[in-house]
Amino acid sequence: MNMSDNNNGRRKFLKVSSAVLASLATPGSVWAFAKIQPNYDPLKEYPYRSWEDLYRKEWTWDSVGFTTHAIGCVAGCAWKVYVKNGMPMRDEQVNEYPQLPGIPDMNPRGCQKGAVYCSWSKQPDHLKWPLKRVGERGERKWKRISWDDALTEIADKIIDTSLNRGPGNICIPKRPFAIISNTAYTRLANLLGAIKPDVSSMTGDLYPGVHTVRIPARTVSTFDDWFTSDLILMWHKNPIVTRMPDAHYLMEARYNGAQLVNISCDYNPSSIHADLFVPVRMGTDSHLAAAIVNQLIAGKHYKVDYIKEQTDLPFLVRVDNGKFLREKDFKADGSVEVFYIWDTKSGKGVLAPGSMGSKEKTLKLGTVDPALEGTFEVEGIKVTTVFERLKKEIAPYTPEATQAESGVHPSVVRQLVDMIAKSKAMRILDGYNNQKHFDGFQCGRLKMLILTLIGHHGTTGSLDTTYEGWVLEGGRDLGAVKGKPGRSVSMVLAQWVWGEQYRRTKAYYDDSQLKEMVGFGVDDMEALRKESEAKGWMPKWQSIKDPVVYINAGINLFNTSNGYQHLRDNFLKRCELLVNVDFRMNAGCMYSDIVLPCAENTEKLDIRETSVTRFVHAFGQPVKPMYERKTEWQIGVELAKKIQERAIARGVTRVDDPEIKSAIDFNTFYDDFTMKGKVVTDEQALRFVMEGSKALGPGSYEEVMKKGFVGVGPSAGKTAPVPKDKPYRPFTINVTDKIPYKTLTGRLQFYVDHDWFQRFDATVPKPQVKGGGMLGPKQFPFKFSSPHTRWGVHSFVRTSEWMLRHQRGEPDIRLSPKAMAKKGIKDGDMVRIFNSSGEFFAMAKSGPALPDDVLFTEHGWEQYLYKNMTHYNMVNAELINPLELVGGYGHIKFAAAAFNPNRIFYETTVDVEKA
Amino acid sequence: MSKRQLAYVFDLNKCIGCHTCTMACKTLWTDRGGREYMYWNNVETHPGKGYPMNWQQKGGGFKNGTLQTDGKLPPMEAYGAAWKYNFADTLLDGKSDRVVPHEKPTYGPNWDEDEGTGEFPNSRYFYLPRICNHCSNPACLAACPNKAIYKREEDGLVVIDQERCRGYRYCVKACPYGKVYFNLQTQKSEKCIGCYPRVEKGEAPACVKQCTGRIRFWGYRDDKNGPIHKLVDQWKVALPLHAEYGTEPNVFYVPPMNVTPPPFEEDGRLSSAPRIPLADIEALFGPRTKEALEILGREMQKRREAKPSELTDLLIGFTNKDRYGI
Repeated sequence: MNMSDNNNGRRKFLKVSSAVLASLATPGSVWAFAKIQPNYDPLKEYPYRSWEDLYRKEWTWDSVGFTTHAIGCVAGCAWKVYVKNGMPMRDEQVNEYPQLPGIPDMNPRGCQKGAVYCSWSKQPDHLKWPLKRVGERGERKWKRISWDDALTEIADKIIDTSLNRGPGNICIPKRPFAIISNTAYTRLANLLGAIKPDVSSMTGDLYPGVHTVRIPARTVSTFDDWFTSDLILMWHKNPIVTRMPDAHYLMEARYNGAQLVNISCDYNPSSIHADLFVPVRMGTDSHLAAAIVNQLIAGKHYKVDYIKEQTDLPFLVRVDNGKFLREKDFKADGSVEVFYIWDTKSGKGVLAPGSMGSKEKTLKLGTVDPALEGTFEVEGIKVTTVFERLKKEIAPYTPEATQAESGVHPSVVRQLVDMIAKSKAMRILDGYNNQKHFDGFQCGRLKMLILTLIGHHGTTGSLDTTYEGWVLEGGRDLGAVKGKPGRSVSMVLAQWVWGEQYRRTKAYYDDSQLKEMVGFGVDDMEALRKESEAKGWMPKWQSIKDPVVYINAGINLFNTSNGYQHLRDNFLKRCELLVNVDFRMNAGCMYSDIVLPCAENTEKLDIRETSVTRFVHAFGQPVKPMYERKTEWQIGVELAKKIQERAIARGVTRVDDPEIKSAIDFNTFYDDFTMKGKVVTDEQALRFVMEGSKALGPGSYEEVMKKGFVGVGPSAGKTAPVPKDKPYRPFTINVTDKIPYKTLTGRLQFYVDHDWFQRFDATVPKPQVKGGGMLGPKQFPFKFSSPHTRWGVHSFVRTSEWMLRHQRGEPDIRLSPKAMAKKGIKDGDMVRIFNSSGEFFAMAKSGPALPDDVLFTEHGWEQYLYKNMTHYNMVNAELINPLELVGGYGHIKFAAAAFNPNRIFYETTVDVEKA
Repeated sequence: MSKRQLAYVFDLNKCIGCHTCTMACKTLWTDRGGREYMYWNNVETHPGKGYPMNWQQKGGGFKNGTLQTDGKLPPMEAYGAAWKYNFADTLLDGKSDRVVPHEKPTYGPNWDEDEGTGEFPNSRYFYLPRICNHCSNPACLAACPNKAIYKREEDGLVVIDQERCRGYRYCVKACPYGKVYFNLQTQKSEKCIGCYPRVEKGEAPACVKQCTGRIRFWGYRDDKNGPIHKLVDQWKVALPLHAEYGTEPNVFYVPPMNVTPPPFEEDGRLSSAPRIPLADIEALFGPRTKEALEILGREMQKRREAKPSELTDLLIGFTNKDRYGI
């Protein structure tokens, strides 16, 4: 373009401008500006620039502090908070992470949710002072009370309940994932012998299937390690939406030569960046995984040396009863935890080193070369290998045979297998959606098998779940109280009993359909649960205790579950005092008797450790708690003080707790909580954690407060040291140093000969569900998908007006244009989604990226945003997989945050109509 | 022409549609004072109606060097209101039974998120982040009868003098990208200012520095060692959006790779057709799209064969310094 053209343009425009002006409702006069038309060319110069200070003045502040927004998120990002006139005004990422050689750095970490935090925290749904209910529960009528009144009422009720009902009728679930905030509740619960529900299974975030293969199941590389891969499968995980701060590593890996594969039931935002999209029918992924394993074995795409040493695939299994061949089979005093392999060199069965019962703590096979295949005889007992069993059982799952289930064309399976076979550094990103399906248990084992067969696990790749956490001894020590273990339970089982989920599940599912598809019905499931509790496999507290006092911290009480109103009504019947601690009025708080306001992200002194980066992040308290909010450590300290004070005043001393061989020492409660005054202030507690952790140590507190983040030392890794100059990758030392895994067999374990696994035909990884997936009644034609949202961390920030304005302003539900046409629904209509379990209302939104039989809504919506106070989880009915109730078997036993029934609700089917 | 020109490259193959850029801008400049409804930075799902609604049909810009006078003034409904919610009434006073927006939502800046088009599994969409293009030949500037819009001579940023602006809104009509807004409270037109207060202190614009997908490259167009020159002029993989509007934008886009992931035949086999028809992308980025995508494809293939590529290293942008700076 040249200047004269432009001038011509403008002159021409001015000539015709009077007509246009008339159409504009503008003040001023055409003649006025014509007369003063100044003589300059604004393309080149401008004479009146002093006005520019206007915007300059808007970018000013008084002070800057650090925070992170990772309380419900596993990302961990360092943010600066700009403070003006005492108010936190704006968040901006710190952007100063160091770079590892050859790897893109992590700058900037932090997504849109962190970016709006300061704005969100000023909304009226954020709490300012303690509230006490004055109406009925849920009526949302409150009076403001003092902290002293609130804590006195809670302390007295705790003492009364422990005296009158006995210990263990207090329940303290918590999830404010910052170390001292969270641990305040652990410490309270331990001192009180309270019930401590596993919040991971509560939200459906466990990987019990993967747990049978490796310990810990929930393990991740630091996500910068993605860059080192040449093939990445995004499976049951939509990292573009749910792992925003690290998603760039996927694109960057792709620019670095990697291929990305997205396996999903919908064409989701991660699919659009993939080199291959595999549209699997919802809930049938186990069949696709089985077909991949089938082809890897058929094409001999497995690394023989690796699987002989690192897995139980060469272990010997008895032909007569399907049990491992054990030392005990030959010697009366032999171990049941020592196993055999067949040595092809000597032609006999020899003991495998490295298992749980083995004295040889190594995977080194020495001169032994174990057989992978074949049938042998060991001292008269006919045996075969795990690999042989696997081969036989996986043989029917050809790409052709599985197409009917998964909907994936055999040629696509073969293309994917070809990519896997050629890969030199493969990784699977395994998201939380897998284990929310009934067949997620077996699918998890199959995914591990895929990565293991080709020898990439612990070497050149990893199966990255979502979260692990670093080893920080100081955090453990802050929560632990000698002789006072508290009462751990599975939250799924607790709500199954207290919320009477069994009745609801029974009413919803079609038993004959279930029996056909999985082999048992809901009554069987309930009987198995009771059997598991009776055998001591799963804790039974939920069956013998009630949540009389329920202190719920940082959890959106009924949002994270299913059957909102059913659960709420049944649960509240058993609860005499419901206390919610949060910084805002989430929907669960509506039903509280007392609401306590805790510090905002910008008001906390704490750290957050997640293991997706090597950094621990600061809640650096850019401002002190405003209004009457208190940090959660201080809430713990003050409640402890009040309990001790009231106990002494009432003459209460010790209440014995023989069920857990413990006691509640009410009259020294505060002294015990604060370790005799050692951890009274937030700084004392935080220093206790940081300075008492090998991977942090002295000086780390100062550093994290100065920079917003601090790197962990080598000892932070649970399954390998954290290297200085490259990304962390788990389970590498098992391969390099031949260190046994923490499984029964000491190997990546793919065979489980537990009675129940045999009973349910699940000794090897293979599909458990048949019939095209989805166990919900067929009369409801739509599968219901409610995965993690882009617009919140669960319900965190979900109510931010800026977030809501970037959606439909109210909860929406997506369905394909064809499905809409079929149901006579138009985009923007209010629709009713229903099944025999319940209903909810939402705005219909067109979803061309969905198959015609899936209804989709992102999770985390607050109940109070729905018409008629309905909620998307009102239609969900959950199931229990008996394989997740198993115990008494080496590493397969109850463990909070590791192994217990996960919340399975992705089997729900629904229908929809115009409301 | 200004003495120097700041320019941007947005790599659409890296954009994850997270809207962190939008919120970075929003919380810095437009969460107050009559700007609430404005998104100086927005991210839209393409194909889609965009923001403001149907901006690609709004008219404006130049044709054969002549400023077009048929540009429309988007009505408020095309932007959507900044809904307010009755949190206190519902949650603290129990007076209402639902938290709702103050008016029925009918449109917003991200109304058709993740919709796109096509039939599953052959659906298609991608994200298109947009800011003011800080054009070398701005239609808004040409349209202002009061000469209140200018290019800053030191950096080429296009700004509207908030003292001289009389609120005639010719600029709103003239910008073919829908990137000038009218502030009903101050009765002045406002738009993206390229974060000049930050730039003057050597700080990158908020949307660039806070982009967690690391898709944004920024610097002076004439900096031969900078990423803009390399991507736009040397490698020729970054193209302006709707160059035919004649405004000479200074925001360039690496177009989205259109062949992957492969779509499917009726029977479920992979098809050899591209996922997104080339014409769809050419409609945005013009006839050089094909060439740019070929260069990109060729260089990515090199990396798959473990050969070096300067281009993919550039697009990876290992550190902040590699992606932006002045």
